[in-house]
Amino acid sequence: MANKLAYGAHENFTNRELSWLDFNYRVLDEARDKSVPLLERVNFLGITQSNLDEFFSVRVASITKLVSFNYHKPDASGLTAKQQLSKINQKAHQMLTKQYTTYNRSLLPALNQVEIHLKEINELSNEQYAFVREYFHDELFPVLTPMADDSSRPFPFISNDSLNLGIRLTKKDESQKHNYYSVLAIPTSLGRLIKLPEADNDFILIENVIKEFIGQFFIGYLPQTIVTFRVIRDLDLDVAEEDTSDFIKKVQQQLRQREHGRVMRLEVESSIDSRTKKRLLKKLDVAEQSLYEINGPLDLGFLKKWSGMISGHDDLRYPSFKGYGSENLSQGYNIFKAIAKKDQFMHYPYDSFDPVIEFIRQAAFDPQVLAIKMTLYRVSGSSPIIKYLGNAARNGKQVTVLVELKARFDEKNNVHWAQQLEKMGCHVIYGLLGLKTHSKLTMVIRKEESGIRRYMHLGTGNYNDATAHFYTDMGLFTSRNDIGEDVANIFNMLSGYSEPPYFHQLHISPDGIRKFITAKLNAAIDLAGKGQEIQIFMKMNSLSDKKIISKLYEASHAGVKIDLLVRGICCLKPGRPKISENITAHSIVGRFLEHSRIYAFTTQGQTEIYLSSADMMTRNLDRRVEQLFPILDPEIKQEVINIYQHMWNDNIKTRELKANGHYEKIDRRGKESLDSQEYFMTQANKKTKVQAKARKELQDQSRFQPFSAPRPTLDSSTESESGK
Amino acid sequence: MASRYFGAIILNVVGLELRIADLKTGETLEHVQKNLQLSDDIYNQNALSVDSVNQIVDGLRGFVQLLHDYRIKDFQLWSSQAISNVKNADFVADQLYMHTGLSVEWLSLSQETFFRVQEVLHRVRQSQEKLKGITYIISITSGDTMIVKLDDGKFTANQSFSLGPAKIAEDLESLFQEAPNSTGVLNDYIASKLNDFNRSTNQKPSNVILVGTLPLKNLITHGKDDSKELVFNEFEELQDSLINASGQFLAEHYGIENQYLPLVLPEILLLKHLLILTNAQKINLSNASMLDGLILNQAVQHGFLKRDLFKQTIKQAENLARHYRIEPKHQQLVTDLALHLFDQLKPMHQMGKRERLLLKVAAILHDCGNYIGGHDHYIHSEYIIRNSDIFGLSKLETEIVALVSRYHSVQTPGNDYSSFTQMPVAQRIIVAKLAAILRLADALDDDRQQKIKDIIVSLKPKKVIITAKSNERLSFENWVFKTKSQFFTETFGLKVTLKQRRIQANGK
Repeated sequence: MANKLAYGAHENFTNRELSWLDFNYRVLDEARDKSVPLLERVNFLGITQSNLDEFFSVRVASITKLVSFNYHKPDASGLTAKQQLSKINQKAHQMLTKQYTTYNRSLLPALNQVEIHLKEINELSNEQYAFVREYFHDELFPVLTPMADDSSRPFPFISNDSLNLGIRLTKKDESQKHNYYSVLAIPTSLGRLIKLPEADNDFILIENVIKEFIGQFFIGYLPQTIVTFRVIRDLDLDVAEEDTSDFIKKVQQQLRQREHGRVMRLEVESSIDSRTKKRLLKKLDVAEQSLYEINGPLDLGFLKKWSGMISGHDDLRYPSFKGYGSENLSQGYNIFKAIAKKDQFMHYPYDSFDPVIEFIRQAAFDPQVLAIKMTLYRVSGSSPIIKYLGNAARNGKQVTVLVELKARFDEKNNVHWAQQLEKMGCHVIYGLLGLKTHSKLTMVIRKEESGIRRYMHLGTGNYNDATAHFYTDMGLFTSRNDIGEDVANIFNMLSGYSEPPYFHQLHISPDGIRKFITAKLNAAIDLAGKGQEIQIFMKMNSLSDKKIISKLYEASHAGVKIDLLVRGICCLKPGRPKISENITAHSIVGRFLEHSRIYAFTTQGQTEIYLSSADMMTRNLDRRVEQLFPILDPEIKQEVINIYQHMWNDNIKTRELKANGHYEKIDRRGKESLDSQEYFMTQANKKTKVQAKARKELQDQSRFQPFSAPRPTLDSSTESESGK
Repeated sequence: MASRYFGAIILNVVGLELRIADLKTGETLEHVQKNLQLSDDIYNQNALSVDSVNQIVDGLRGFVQLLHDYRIKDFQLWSSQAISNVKNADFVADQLYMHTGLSVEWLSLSQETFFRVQEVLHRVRQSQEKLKGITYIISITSGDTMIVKLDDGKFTANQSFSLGPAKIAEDLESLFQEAPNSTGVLNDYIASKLNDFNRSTNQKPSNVILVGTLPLKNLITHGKDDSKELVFNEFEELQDSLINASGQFLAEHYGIENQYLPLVLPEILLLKHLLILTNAQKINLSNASMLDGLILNQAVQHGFLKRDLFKQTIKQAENLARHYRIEPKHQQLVTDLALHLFDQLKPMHQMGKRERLLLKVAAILHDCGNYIGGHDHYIHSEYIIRNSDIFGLSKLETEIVALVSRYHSVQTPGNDYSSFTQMPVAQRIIVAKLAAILRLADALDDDRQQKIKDIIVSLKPKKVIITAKSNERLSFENWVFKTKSQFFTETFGLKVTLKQRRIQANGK
């Protein structure tokens, strides 16, 4: 097609990093949204900070490396690495202003109104002042070590994300001519916030206490300037991850050794004097554009902790929510029977994550179970899953666990789990060289009367019981034989055996998912060309792969109607004439982190639904092991379609990506308001109520029943609990 | 009932493969492959390197883990004939056993084809189709080619050649580097190796079923798993498009893996020769693998499936018998008598179906040495049998048959003969028992006049009485029987006596 070249033109793409910053803006908007409970807004602002820190230590780090290599090739949107870097810093500076305006002008005043205070040292009552003085002497003084910064020794190493004080001093007995410098690292072990006595919710930041009494370290000197500063360093350990060519990767590897830990961003208090500023820039080797002067406390990440430390004020938080747990997937019921009878669909967190844990628990203790195989990517701190896998191994089941060591920022954690699992007698495998395993699969092999049967859970999200409470994900329990064979093959593949010549139902990255989605889009383009009405909807976290985006443009141009729900990065530009007129893109940012991936194709009224662990990003399609699986059960299919439609019709938390690249709230005039996350929670609560009522009725009926012999098959503890 | 699940592992030149099958339903529970490149070790070095053995061990360990996952108790590791030929084969087998606990069973070439053919026939039978006219099943492995001829779906003959794509590629590697027109040389080379193919003057048009795991299947099916049929002309077109194709083209268009690229040309030329020799009209590709055949065989052995898997072996033995002009009346009678003895004496010898098959083959072939000369014919029989491919028999089984034939006449098993003493003790006992039975049967028709048509065998606590039904004078038989039964007595610890019963007019 003559147009083919046009689809790939630079102007049709948004730069990936800038699009990510847009996403962080949307999170920031939540912190500014007055309809969001106050303490949650505080939390959202904290999230924007930690997001940004990660972004700088990985993405910006990666681009900085390209710049220092003089890599001139532009990205899909036509920007060179250098141009990207300057645009990123520009946009990040704007974001910083907005973050602190939000903090200083909206959140702090609103908190003060409800008697929640973050006090300055001069605002303390006498008793509070006495408290912090004592705190300084007892807790802080022993652990603080100021380090002199002079020509006789190297500048002290400032570790990533740590808060530090930069101090300029003069000697008391000298006539103010000579400047002395010192650096003091603020320990992270004590926490950033100190709760003050005399009030329910008075707090002070630890650096302000240290500043107040800092003179005690420098007897005979006068502190002239004391400023807080922080650095974000290059933490990009996993080079193979990034969307660049192989050659670059090699170079990056070399550069990394030289440059590892280079400072990507330096934050200082805006009260800094120019002497100290210059000194820090020089000593830390930071470019001017990477310097961020901040009007307020550094590192708003503490806000996430703060909202948790505040006592009372539950009215200022989201009402507590517990996902619906279907009875037949709970303790006391045979979960395998339920799955064998029918595929079970889960929509987390509206459906409780407990059945997944229960699935592993029952597998560990069920005498018919022979083996368990599972992929673990990020595991929560006190994961019951690990415990049950250990139980299973001790009970003589064959337990094979794939632990992905390379999950970013979790490397250490993962090594720990891998060793722990091995100690418990599990067979631990580490996946394939050069490919991160991102698949989320569990398989339980069970010997039944009719023969061996496999039970699977396939998911769009990690097996992490902690994040399952606020990530929206989808999961499927099934015992279909064809899917069982596919999953068994994936585990074999991950153990180093040849990829099978074909899969029955699943599609697997690397390559497989890209091929499948491309083939689907090609088929859609074909049919649309023949005048058929084709509709595609997709939901994912990020859309950045150039080839897939170009294919979507081609489909749009052929007349295929495409609805996209992309929470984060979206390099596609919708609504461009002759390119993407038929594409609409939404983003939902709300209480829960949208995390499920859905790919659906409607031809002649027939919809095919696929769920996946993969985003449409180059790394997910080419350099990771990911799975895509179909929803075959007609009822479940309908359920997913309904869910999607509610998400698509959301007009509270949704922003639409416009052709000009801006995200705008949906115009609600004349429409009924719909907050999809809210809606799903309400539905879940209703289901929970109905179930509780049914259970109560059953008990009422049996209240006057004579005793019968106890039934040993049911777990007695659940029975007594429900009898309360 | 025997266990329902069976794990079959095969080690061949291209790697390892495990299939865990449900014998009852024929479904596959797990199918895992590990590609290894052993052809250089096997065809050039003639020994498996330490590195290769380690790779095999790693692969097998994973297989053992999988077998544990499903708690499979019945499993077997087989290895193809090509690997059994390397000079360190016994060491390799021992290392594999030490590291994985798996004992390897070496397959003979004829077994490899046998299991493939069984699977092909099984599938034909499942599909309710009938094979009409002449069909050749051509099985090409990396180093060997086997051709099986079927008439209306019934086995008639087989023939093997020590010629396969990997072997050709390795043999002619230096040639490819030097000769500009290597296709021509390649053709000549193949033709020279195939020149003893049984070419009757006017070969009837035939259909060919191709089995084997080599790249050609990919070329034709484009990597899909479907069986596909093509006519001879299509094959020629394919050949034209491939003969000068670059490796890159093959890799991109046909998805042929790098390691197989050098095999494409040898395979396609070899096949072309075979198709002309067999006068092939239609060519079917079957994905029936040896592993499938091995599993089928297990299903039959475990009683999940009813098939006569011995038919073709017997047929092949009969073909050989005809080839060596064995006198049929004596052969038929001795075979009947031997099997009758075997069946009746079962309580004391406790041998199974497989041994019965070996006895039958030995009975059919025991006099083939007469083709060379009557004197010491049993010695000629022995080496003829040892060097024949008897369809479906392992190397060891063929050896048993050869020795049983050797000992049917004058000599008896003893420590004076190295072929016998080299055999494992368990197999030596089988040779002795079968030979003892065959000797008795042979003695009952020693003068080849078929005076005894039928016998009754009665097993008493300390002796066996054989009652011969005959109206003729049996004094010669009695005399021979006395000498020849001596070995039977030594083997089984039972006296055996021959009695005669006259047949009444009504046949009783």
